[in-house]
Amino acid sequence: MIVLLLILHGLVGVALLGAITHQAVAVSSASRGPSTAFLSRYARVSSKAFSRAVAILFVVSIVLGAVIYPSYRLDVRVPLEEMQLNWAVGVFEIKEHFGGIGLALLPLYFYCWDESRAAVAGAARATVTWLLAFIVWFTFVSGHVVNNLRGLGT
Amino acid sequence: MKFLSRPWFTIGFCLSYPFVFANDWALFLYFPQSQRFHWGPEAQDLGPAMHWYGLVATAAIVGLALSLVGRDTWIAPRVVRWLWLAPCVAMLGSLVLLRQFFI
Repeated sequence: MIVLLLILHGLVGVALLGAITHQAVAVSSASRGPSTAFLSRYARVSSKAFSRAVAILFVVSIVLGAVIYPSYRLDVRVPLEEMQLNWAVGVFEIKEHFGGIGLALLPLYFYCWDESRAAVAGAARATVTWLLAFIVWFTFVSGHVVNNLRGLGT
Repeated sequence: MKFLSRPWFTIGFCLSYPFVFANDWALFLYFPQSQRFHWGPEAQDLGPAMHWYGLVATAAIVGLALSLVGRDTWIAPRVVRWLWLAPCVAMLGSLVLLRQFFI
Protein backbone atom coordinates (compact mmCIF):
# COMPACT_ATOMS: atom_id res chain seq x y z
CA MET A 1 0.00 0.00 0.00
CA ILE A 2 2.76 2.44 0.96
CA VAL A 3 4.64 1.70 -2.31
CA LEU A 4 1.43 2.41 -4.24
CA LEU A 5 1.06 5.73 -2.44
CA LEU A 6 4.72 6.54 -3.13
CA ILE A 7 4.21 5.88 -6.86
CA LEU A 8 1.07 8.02 -6.82
CA HIS A 9 3.02 10.75 -4.97
CA GLY A 10 5.66 10.59 -7.71
CA LEU A 11 3.11 10.74 -10.53
CA VAL A 12 1.35 13.73 -8.98
CA GLY A 13 4.80 15.31 -8.63
CA VAL A 14 5.49 14.82 -12.35
CA ALA A 15 2.16 16.42 -13.29
CA LEU A 16 2.84 19.31 -10.90
CA LEU A 17 6.35 19.77 -12.27
CA GLY A 18 4.98 19.99 -15.80
CA ALA A 19 2.21 22.41 -14.91
CA ILE A 20 4.26 24.84 -12.79
CA THR A 21 7.20 24.85 -15.23
CA HIS A 22 4.88 25.50 -18.16
CA GLN A 23 3.18 28.33 -16.29
CA ALA A 24 6.47 29.87 -15.13
CA VAL A 25 7.94 29.84 -18.65
CA ALA A 26 4.71 31.25 -20.08
CA VAL A 27 4.47 34.10 -17.59
CA SER A 28 8.12 35.05 -18.13
CA SER A 29 7.86 34.85 -21.90
CA ALA A 30 4.83 37.12 -21.83
CA SER A 31 6.90 39.83 -20.22
CA ARG A 32 10.19 39.30 -22.07
CA GLY A 33 9.17 37.93 -25.46
CA PRO A 34 9.89 34.48 -26.90
CA SER A 35 13.47 33.59 -27.82
CA THR A 36 13.00 30.52 -30.02
CA ALA A 37 10.19 28.93 -31.99
CA PHE A 38 9.92 26.00 -29.57
CA LEU A 39 9.78 28.27 -26.54
CA SER A 40 7.29 30.46 -28.34
CA ARG A 41 4.93 27.52 -28.86
CA TYR A 42 5.61 26.18 -25.35
CA ALA A 43 4.85 29.56 -23.80
CA ARG A 44 1.78 30.30 -25.91
CA VAL A 45 -0.66 29.09 -23.27
CA SER A 46 -2.97 30.86 -20.87
CA SER A 47 -0.83 30.90 -17.71
CA LYS A 48 -3.87 31.80 -15.63
CA ALA A 49 -5.52 28.49 -16.53
CA PHE A 50 -2.70 26.64 -14.73
CA SER A 51 -3.07 28.25 -11.30
CA ARG A 52 -6.00 26.15 -10.05
CA ALA A 53 -4.46 22.91 -11.35
CA VAL A 54 -1.10 23.78 -9.78
CA ALA A 55 -2.68 24.53 -6.40
CA ILE A 56 -4.75 21.30 -6.40
CA LEU A 57 -1.77 19.19 -7.48
CA PHE A 58 0.46 20.83 -4.87
CA VAL A 59 -2.04 20.16 -2.06
CA VAL A 60 -2.60 16.54 -3.22
CA SER A 61 1.16 16.02 -3.41
CA ILE A 62 1.69 17.39 0.12
CA VAL A 63 -1.17 15.30 1.53
CA LEU A 64 0.22 12.14 -0.08
CA GLY A 65 3.69 13.03 1.19
CA ALA A 66 2.32 13.59 4.69
CA VAL A 67 0.65 10.15 4.61
CA ILE A 68 3.86 8.43 3.47
CA TYR A 69 6.09 10.46 5.81
CA PRO A 70 5.73 8.22 8.92
CA SER A 71 6.96 5.22 6.87
CA TYR A 72 9.97 7.28 5.76
CA ARG A 73 10.67 8.21 9.39
CA LEU A 74 10.76 4.59 10.49
CA ASP A 75 11.90 2.59 7.44
CA VAL A 76 14.18 5.01 5.59
CA ARG A 77 15.54 7.66 7.94
CA VAL A 78 16.74 5.21 10.60
CA PRO A 79 18.81 3.14 8.09
CA LEU A 80 20.15 6.37 6.53
CA GLU A 81 21.32 7.48 9.98
CA GLU A 82 22.87 4.08 10.59
CA MET A 83 24.72 4.41 7.27
CA GLN A 84 25.87 7.86 8.48
CA LEU A 85 24.32 9.50 5.42
CA ASN A 86 23.55 12.67 7.33
CA TRP A 87 23.51 14.79 4.19
CA ALA A 88 20.67 12.63 2.79
CA VAL A 89 18.67 13.04 6.01
CA GLY A 90 19.37 16.78 5.82
CA VAL A 91 18.27 17.01 2.19
CA PHE A 92 14.98 15.29 3.09
CA GLU A 93 14.55 17.64 6.07
CA ILE A 94 14.96 20.61 3.71
CA LYS A 95 12.42 19.00 1.36
CA GLU A 96 9.78 18.66 4.09
CA HIS A 97 10.25 22.24 5.33
CA PHE A 98 10.24 23.70 1.81
CA GLY A 99 7.07 21.69 1.12
CA GLY A 100 5.32 23.27 4.11
CA ILE A 101 6.51 26.74 3.09
CA GLY A 102 5.27 26.05 -0.45
CA LEU A 103 1.86 25.22 0.97
CA ALA A 104 1.85 28.59 2.74
CA LEU A 105 2.92 30.28 -0.50
CA LEU A 106 -0.24 29.08 -2.29
CA PRO A 107 -2.57 31.84 -0.92
CA LEU A 108 -0.13 34.51 -2.15
CA TYR A 109 0.20 32.66 -5.46
CA PHE A 110 -3.61 32.68 -5.86
CA TYR A 111 -3.71 36.36 -4.87
CA CYS A 112 -1.18 37.20 -7.58
CA TRP A 113 -3.12 35.24 -10.22
CA ASP A 114 -6.49 36.79 -9.30
CA GLU A 115 -7.57 38.78 -12.36
CA SER A 116 -9.42 41.33 -10.22
CA ARG A 117 -6.07 42.21 -8.58
CA ALA A 118 -3.98 42.18 -11.73
CA ALA A 119 -3.21 45.88 -11.45
CA VAL A 120 -1.73 45.46 -7.97
CA ALA A 121 -0.39 41.91 -7.94
CA GLY A 122 0.31 41.31 -11.62
CA ALA A 123 3.93 42.40 -11.31
CA ALA A 124 4.59 39.80 -8.60
CA ARG A 125 3.18 36.88 -10.62
CA ALA A 126 6.38 35.82 -12.32
CA THR A 127 8.50 35.91 -9.15
CA VAL A 128 5.97 34.05 -7.01
CA THR A 129 5.41 31.45 -9.76
CA TRP A 130 9.15 30.88 -10.21
CA LEU A 131 9.60 30.58 -6.44
CA LEU A 132 6.89 27.93 -6.30
CA ALA A 133 8.48 26.22 -9.31
CA PHE A 134 11.83 26.16 -7.48
CA ILE A 135 10.19 24.55 -4.44
CA VAL A 136 8.47 21.94 -6.63
CA TRP A 137 11.68 21.12 -8.51
CA PHE A 138 13.74 20.93 -5.32
CA THR A 139 11.26 18.72 -3.47
CA PHE A 140 10.88 16.44 -6.50
CA VAL A 141 14.59 15.97 -7.15
CA SER A 142 15.56 15.62 -3.46
CA GLY A 143 12.80 13.07 -2.88
CA HIS A 144 14.00 11.14 -5.90
CA VAL A 145 17.62 11.18 -4.70
CA VAL A 146 16.72 9.96 -1.19
CA ASN A 147 14.42 7.29 -2.65
CA ASN A 148 17.32 6.09 -4.83
CA LEU A 149 19.55 5.80 -1.76
CA ARG A 150 17.02 3.87 0.28
CA GLY A 151 13.48 3.55 -1.01
CA LEU A 152 10.36 2.59 0.88
CA GLY A 153 9.71 -1.15 0.82
CA THR A 154 13.38 -2.10 0.30
CA MET B 1 -13.50 33.33 2.55
CA LYS B 2 -13.57 37.06 1.75
CA PHE B 3 -12.78 37.84 5.40
CA LEU B 4 -9.40 36.08 5.12
CA SER B 5 -6.50 37.97 3.58
CA ARG B 6 -4.42 35.60 1.44
CA PRO B 7 -1.16 37.60 1.40
CA TRP B 8 -1.29 38.09 5.16
CA PHE B 9 -1.58 34.31 5.64
CA THR B 10 1.61 33.78 3.64
CA ILE B 11 3.37 36.61 5.51
CA GLY B 12 2.27 35.32 8.95
CA PHE B 13 3.14 31.70 8.23
CA CYS B 14 6.48 32.41 6.60
CA LEU B 15 7.81 35.02 9.01
CA SER B 16 6.80 32.96 12.06
CA TYR B 17 8.12 29.67 10.65
CA PRO B 18 11.84 30.15 11.45
CA PHE B 19 10.95 31.09 15.05
CA VAL B 20 8.51 28.18 15.41
CA PHE B 21 11.13 25.82 13.99
CA ALA B 22 14.05 27.22 16.00
CA ASN B 23 12.13 27.03 19.29
CA ASP B 24 10.41 23.75 18.41
CA TRP B 25 6.96 25.19 19.07
CA ALA B 26 5.21 22.24 17.45
CA LEU B 27 1.49 22.28 18.27
CA PHE B 28 1.62 18.50 18.62
CA LEU B 29 3.97 15.62 17.96
CA TYR B 30 3.29 12.44 16.03
CA PHE B 31 4.82 9.13 17.07
CA PRO B 32 4.79 6.84 14.01
CA GLN B 33 5.84 3.70 15.88
CA SER B 34 2.86 3.83 18.23
CA GLN B 35 0.74 5.80 15.70
CA ARG B 36 -0.22 8.36 18.31
CA PHE B 37 -0.49 12.12 18.40
CA HIS B 38 0.80 13.74 21.54
CA TRP B 39 0.27 17.21 22.96
CA GLY B 40 2.99 18.87 24.98
CA PRO B 41 6.60 17.80 25.55
CA GLU B 42 8.14 14.76 23.93
CA ALA B 43 7.22 11.40 25.47
CA GLN B 44 10.15 9.01 25.89
CA ASP B 45 8.35 5.69 25.57
CA LEU B 46 6.49 6.25 22.29
CA GLY B 47 9.45 5.93 19.87
CA PRO B 48 10.84 8.59 17.50
CA ALA B 49 8.78 11.78 17.31
CA MET B 50 7.80 13.67 14.17
CA HIS B 51 7.70 17.44 14.63
CA TRP B 52 6.92 18.67 11.09
CA TYR B 53 3.13 18.29 11.23
CA GLY B 54 3.00 20.24 14.50
CA LEU B 55 5.40 22.95 13.27
CA VAL B 56 3.29 23.53 10.16
CA ALA B 57 0.13 23.61 12.31
CA THR B 58 1.60 26.24 14.67
CA ALA B 59 2.80 28.47 11.81
CA ALA B 60 -0.58 28.01 10.08
CA ILE B 61 -2.35 29.28 13.21
CA VAL B 62 -0.15 32.39 13.17
CA GLY B 63 -0.87 32.83 9.45
CA LEU B 64 -4.61 32.32 9.97
CA ALA B 65 -4.70 34.84 12.84
CA LEU B 66 -2.87 37.43 10.74
CA SER B 67 -5.09 36.75 7.72
CA LEU B 68 -8.16 37.36 9.90
CA VAL B 69 -6.82 40.65 11.27
CA GLY B 70 -4.91 41.95 8.23
CA ARG B 71 -6.52 43.55 5.18
CA ASP B 72 -5.21 43.40 1.62
CA THR B 73 -5.51 47.17 1.38
CA TRP B 74 -2.95 47.60 4.16
CA ILE B 75 -0.27 46.30 1.81
CA ALA B 76 0.93 49.12 -0.43
CA PRO B 77 0.93 48.21 -4.15
CA ARG B 78 4.70 48.76 -4.38
CA VAL B 79 5.20 46.27 -1.49
CA VAL B 80 3.15 43.48 -3.15
CA ARG B 81 5.92 42.77 -5.65
CA TRP B 82 8.30 42.11 -2.74
CA LEU B 83 6.05 39.69 -0.80
CA TRP B 84 7.96 36.73 -2.27
CA LEU B 85 10.70 37.65 0.18
CA ALA B 86 8.62 36.25 3.09
CA PRO B 87 8.83 32.61 1.87
CA CYS B 88 12.51 33.20 1.08
CA VAL B 89 13.09 34.25 4.71
CA ALA B 90 11.39 31.04 5.87
CA MET B 91 13.44 28.92 3.46
CA LEU B 92 16.75 30.56 4.41
CA GLY B 93 15.87 30.25 8.11
CA SER B 94 15.18 26.54 7.64
CA LEU B 95 18.49 26.08 5.81
CA VAL B 96 20.40 27.77 8.64
CA LEU B 97 18.63 25.63 11.25
CA LEU B 98 19.38 22.44 9.28
CA ARG B 99 23.06 23.23 8.69
CA GLN B 100 24.18 20.61 11.25
CA PHE B 101 23.37 17.86 8.74
CA PHE B 102 26.00 19.15 6.33
CA ILE B 103 28.93 20.21 8.58
